[in-house]
Amino acid sequence: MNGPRHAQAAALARALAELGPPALLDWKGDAPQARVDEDGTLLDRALTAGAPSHFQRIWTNDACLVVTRAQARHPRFEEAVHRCGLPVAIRRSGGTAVVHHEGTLQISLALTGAEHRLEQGYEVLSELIIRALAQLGVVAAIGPAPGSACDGRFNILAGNRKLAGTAAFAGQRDGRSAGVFHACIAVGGNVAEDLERIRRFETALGTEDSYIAGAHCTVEQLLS
Amino acid sequence: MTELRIADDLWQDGEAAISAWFYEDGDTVRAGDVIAELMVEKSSFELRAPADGRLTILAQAEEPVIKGQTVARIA
Repeated sequence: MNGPRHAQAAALARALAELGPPALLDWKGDAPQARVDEDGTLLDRALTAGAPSHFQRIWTNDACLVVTRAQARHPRFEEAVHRCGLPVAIRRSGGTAVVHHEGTLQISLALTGAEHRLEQGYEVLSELIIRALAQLGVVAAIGPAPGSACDGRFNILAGNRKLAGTAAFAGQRDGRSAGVFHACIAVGGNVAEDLERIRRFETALGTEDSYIAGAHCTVEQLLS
Repeated sequence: MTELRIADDLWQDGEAAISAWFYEDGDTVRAGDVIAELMVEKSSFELRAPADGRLTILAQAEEPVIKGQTVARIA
């Protein structure tokens, strides 16, 4: 693969690579779970003595639903996988289910030292994404987006609507600590369809929430 | 006896909870084993056994925990 098929995703990837730490541009066409698992390799690398303190992986994924380990431990998980209608991959970070597809761009930032701590790590990731979006002409900020799927304090917002969600996981080895902070950026696609996939999955788990398409936006919408 | 404490410097604000224990109360664990997962603000942290021994769980999964709290003992 030569990069994201979505033109604005490709432009955003270039901006992230230009503005951020050393970047691995990862366009391999592996299965969704392998793509998600590669972030674990990032953490392992960050925990290796002599590794750079900051580096990033910019990547894409085929259409899938990416869920958490907590969701995967649910007794009705297998049924929920069957009902959602997409391949399901399990990630190490927290939150709830999100949809990946060719209209989303993923960035995973590996941090060590003080910046692997929660708030600092999210700020470093968010500021990088905000600067990259600014190169495309999108003004963004950090904050919660009530009514959005997988909400949290550290979404990337455009006009109070969620443009990207963030999550993280951390580890320790031989006295060294590191964290991988990642974001799923909605560049294009159909938000309502994505939310419907999430709703089907979470309804089958019995954990569904009410999500509002209007709480989300995409880069494509903002620039059209 | 060794205590497993939640580190003071992992996060500033927000609620935390052990999302899962990977061993049962009374199990034998080894130093360095990942024995639990702590979740704060959509972030997961591995909790590793600080010593070899038998695990006594003091904070149940999904219960709120705070920085500095002892969540298990290993003896």
